[in-house]
Amino acid sequence: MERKKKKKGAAFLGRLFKRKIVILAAIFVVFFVITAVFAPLLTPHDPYKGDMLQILKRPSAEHWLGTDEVGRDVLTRIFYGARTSLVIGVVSVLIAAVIGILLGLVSAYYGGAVNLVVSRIIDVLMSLPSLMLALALGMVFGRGMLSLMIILGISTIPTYTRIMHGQVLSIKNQDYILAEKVVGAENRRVLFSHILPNCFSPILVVLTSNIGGTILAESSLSFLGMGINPPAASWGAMVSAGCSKLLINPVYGIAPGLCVWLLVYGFNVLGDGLRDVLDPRLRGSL
Amino acid sequence: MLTAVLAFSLAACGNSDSGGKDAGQGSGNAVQQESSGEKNQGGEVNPDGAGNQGEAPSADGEIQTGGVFKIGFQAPIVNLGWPGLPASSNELIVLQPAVESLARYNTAGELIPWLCESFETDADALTLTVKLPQGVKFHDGTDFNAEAVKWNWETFQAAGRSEIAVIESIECPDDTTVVAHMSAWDNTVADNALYHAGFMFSPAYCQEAGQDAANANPVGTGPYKFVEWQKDVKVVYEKYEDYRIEGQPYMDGIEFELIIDSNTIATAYQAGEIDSLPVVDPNIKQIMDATGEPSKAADSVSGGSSIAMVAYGCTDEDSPTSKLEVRQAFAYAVNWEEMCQALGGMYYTNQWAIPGVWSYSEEVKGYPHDVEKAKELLAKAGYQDGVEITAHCLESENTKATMMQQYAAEAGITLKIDNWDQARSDEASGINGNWDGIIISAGRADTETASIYGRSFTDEGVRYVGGFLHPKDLVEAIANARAARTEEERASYTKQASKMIIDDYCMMSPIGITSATLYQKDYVHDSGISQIHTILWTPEACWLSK
Repeated sequence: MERKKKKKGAAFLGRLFKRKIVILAAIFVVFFVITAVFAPLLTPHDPYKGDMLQILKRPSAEHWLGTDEVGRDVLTRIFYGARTSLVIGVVSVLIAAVIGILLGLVSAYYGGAVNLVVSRIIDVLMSLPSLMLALALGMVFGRGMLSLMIILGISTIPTYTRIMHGQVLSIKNQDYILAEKVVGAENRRVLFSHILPNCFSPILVVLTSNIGGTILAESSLSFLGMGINPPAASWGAMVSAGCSKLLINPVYGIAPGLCVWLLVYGFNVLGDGLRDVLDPRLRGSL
Repeated sequence: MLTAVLAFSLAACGNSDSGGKDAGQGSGNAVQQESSGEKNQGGEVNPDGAGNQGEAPSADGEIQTGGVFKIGFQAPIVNLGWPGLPASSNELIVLQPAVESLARYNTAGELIPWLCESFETDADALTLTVKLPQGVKFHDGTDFNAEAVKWNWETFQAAGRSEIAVIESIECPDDTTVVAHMSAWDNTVADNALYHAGFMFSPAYCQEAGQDAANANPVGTGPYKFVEWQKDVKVVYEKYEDYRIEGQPYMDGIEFELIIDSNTIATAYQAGEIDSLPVVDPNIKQIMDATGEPSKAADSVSGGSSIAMVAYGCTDEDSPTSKLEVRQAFAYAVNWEEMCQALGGMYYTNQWAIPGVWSYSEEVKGYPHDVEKAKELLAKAGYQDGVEITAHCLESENTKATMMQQYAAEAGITLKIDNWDQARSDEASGINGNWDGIIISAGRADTETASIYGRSFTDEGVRYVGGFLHPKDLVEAIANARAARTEEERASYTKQASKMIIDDYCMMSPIGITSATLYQKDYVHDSGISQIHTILWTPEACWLSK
């Protein structure tokens, strides 16, 4: 049994990394995860304390990507910015996924008034562009990492609810679910032991892609000044600050932008790779 | 010929200075300031040195005519054409081609007549008398006369501006004489009435068009007529052929190109699409420094500057900064001088005054960087384990906030940055506003500081008034400074007030005074921008040799 599982896992990974582009994407993601986890070991500089006499210096041996407007090492801030981006990306996606999946599961399974209420709430949320919604929620929750995770989580809930809703509708009337009901299984058991596991593949694909989207949204909000509070490092805030210094230290604005692109690209391609593996109809279309 | 113009101008100012300045120089506490009547070559009465930046005239030494002067501007423009509404330095700079002030400043910081012929203050009679020239017309063809000045001052007061609140009635004995009666003697009345409230708009046009339309279409007596204002794009002026000074202006027009992004505006200047960059943010200064282009602003510019500062919320009892020791601890914790240097584009001061001018007090000790002293004061205030203070600021001030955050942390102060939008900031610093912690902001920095202090540290104030204390001794010192009849008395009371604000009550900490900057092509002559005053310039005298 164990051997069979291992074999299945190896086959899954083999199919996932069959394409070089997915391997490249995984390398990007792993690289940034490593920099985020081991940031304090990778740099001798303090990400929050600058040298006022070393402001906006161009790249040098001491500061590989130069310094920012407060004299802090840009590379160090990028490492710590990866931490911010990944934590916000993963946690907000998990918040959205947990709430969205539950709402989709319950509304589609029970139908009736529950479905009506949930669907209308989701319609309202979907009628607003997610960035606009995040900006509006930002005014309510204020700034900060926790607020940002909640804001981005709320703004992506509809995606999961809709997908889950569709999945449950297609599964709940299948024979094995009906059989379970006939033998007297409780709704909770039917929902979480039979329906949920069978709906998980598309959710996993969306979840992976959404991490990239959320990181991009966090960077956008930080760029617009609605992100995390200083002095925490954020790529979006660094791009925003570096924009006006392009003619002085171009690396300061460009490097974090490049990191956003690579990490988001990494998650998106990984998501696409997962979709291809989990949905045989799309295999080879990446 | 330019030398001759300069000589005439200096002679004119020399004569006009002979009457002394207000605050009681001269006999009987009545002082008079008038233009000499000497006109330079173009018929211009030029403030001392204004418009003479030292650039070489054209090859043949003649002033050239024609061309359009393009000025790059970063700041947003909101108000241009209604008395009292244009309040920012940027708006006042942009409206000057069309709208002239009754008086200007010379290099000594003294007020000299410009659109008016003369003015006289009388401390005993509590009056300000202004004589106007005959035959001057607004761009809409209506007369510039005493009634126009009266309407402008009354409308300025009605706009909620407190600068000339001391004027309780205005009479016009004849078409060329205006007499303002004061409720109490205020030695700042001439500066406030002739400069701050001295920009003259056409009453006829304003009343006919209404406030909104007139505010977007400045109609004055200036050398250029307003043509169009494309919001956030440009403001365009064309030559006014019937300008009151014969032979001027020299150019065909003036255009303000409104470009907010630092890189774009700097690149546009370097590419020659813009002739002048008068008010720039530190980013542009850094870009220009990197390219080796020096600022052409005169070193002597002292008026109309702004001061970057921290305003402590002193009145909210729930805020740690309501305790004097905490405010002083924060002031000691931050290395203001180093921070000022690091920010660039400003010079250090330890008080709300410009170093070197008569109002600057050498007795103010300030708060030289001392972390240990900061810790001691915190412990004295009961915060031996540290304290959290909120720093409110606009997003654009985050660099300053982050720098302070670093310094404060060393003393055990956690500075939490809370970014406000402009509306929230205006609300907190407005008449009924208040705040906890600190606000990182900017204020006006001028030679005359008593009226600036009056705006914030007295019950009649309009800015930061809710968060600052109004201690009786400080209020008295400010009132005495404004009512002083001699320069010595005025300076003495002003300095007392400065010392109380900084040393005794620690209600604000200055970061630095913004240095005047000007990046301008060599073919631009006599613009007067950032030569005498940060705001006032000489569009009528400006000419191009390209």
